[in-house]
Amino acid sequence: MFLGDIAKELIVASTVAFKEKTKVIAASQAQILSNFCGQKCPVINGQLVTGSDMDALLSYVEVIAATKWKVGSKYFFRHEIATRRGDR
Amino acid sequence: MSFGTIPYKRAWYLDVVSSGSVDMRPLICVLEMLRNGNFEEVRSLVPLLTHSSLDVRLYAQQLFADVCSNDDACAFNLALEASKTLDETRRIVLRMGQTLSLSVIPILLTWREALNDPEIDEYVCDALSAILPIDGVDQFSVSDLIFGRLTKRRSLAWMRPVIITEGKNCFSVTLLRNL
Repeated sequence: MFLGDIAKELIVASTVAFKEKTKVIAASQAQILSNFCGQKCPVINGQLVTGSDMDALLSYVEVIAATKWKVGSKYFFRHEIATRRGDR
Repeated sequence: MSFGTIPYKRAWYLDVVSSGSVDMRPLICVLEMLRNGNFEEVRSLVPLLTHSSLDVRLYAQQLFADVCSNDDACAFNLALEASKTLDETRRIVLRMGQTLSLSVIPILLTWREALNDPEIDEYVCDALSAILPIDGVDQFSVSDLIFGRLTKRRSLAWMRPVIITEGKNCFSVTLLRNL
């Protein structure tokens, strides 16, 4: 899992929802982004997306992209979580 | 905002900090440590997974799912054993998916079989989809396909608490996308 992929999935889902005026279908992406970076994602699953929401999402993702994230790692508020208990 | 009033939705951590009850205070303290990157107290959440207060249980389960290691994730089995209602069991199953840990897969499949409830199958499928997003797998085929294919490919090795790729430990979900 990589945060960049998750962000892309959410942007695609949000763009589709915005164009089609439907609710975003992205069950876990927003939650993962929020947990990993420690800032609440401006778009969540089931939300109707407006133009300003899209702007907010793109700005949010730009901020996330400025940080280096490891593929396959899990983060909480930008802190990497050890895969094993003994690694803490 | 209480966790008890929003059974399937997540509450954003920082919204809960300002509205915590007395029962919630220890959890808020742990949250503060976790937010600062101190993960020493993750195991202290385990007893709270089965706390008598529903709000505490829900909060602890959400927090634990987000911060647990592969080793720790198996503690969700205790929460499932202590679950008082089917509704709570379903919620715990979803939380297990949010751990992103392969080590909960055998637990999910064991409980799926034990409960033998079509609705639980959907929740198990959702949880597995969060961990292993494989196209074309639904609640009907989840056991046969996922478990069968994983087992066939010596999945027990994959399900060890530590997943290693390219010489490094990881929580990889993408590793299994190509199965």
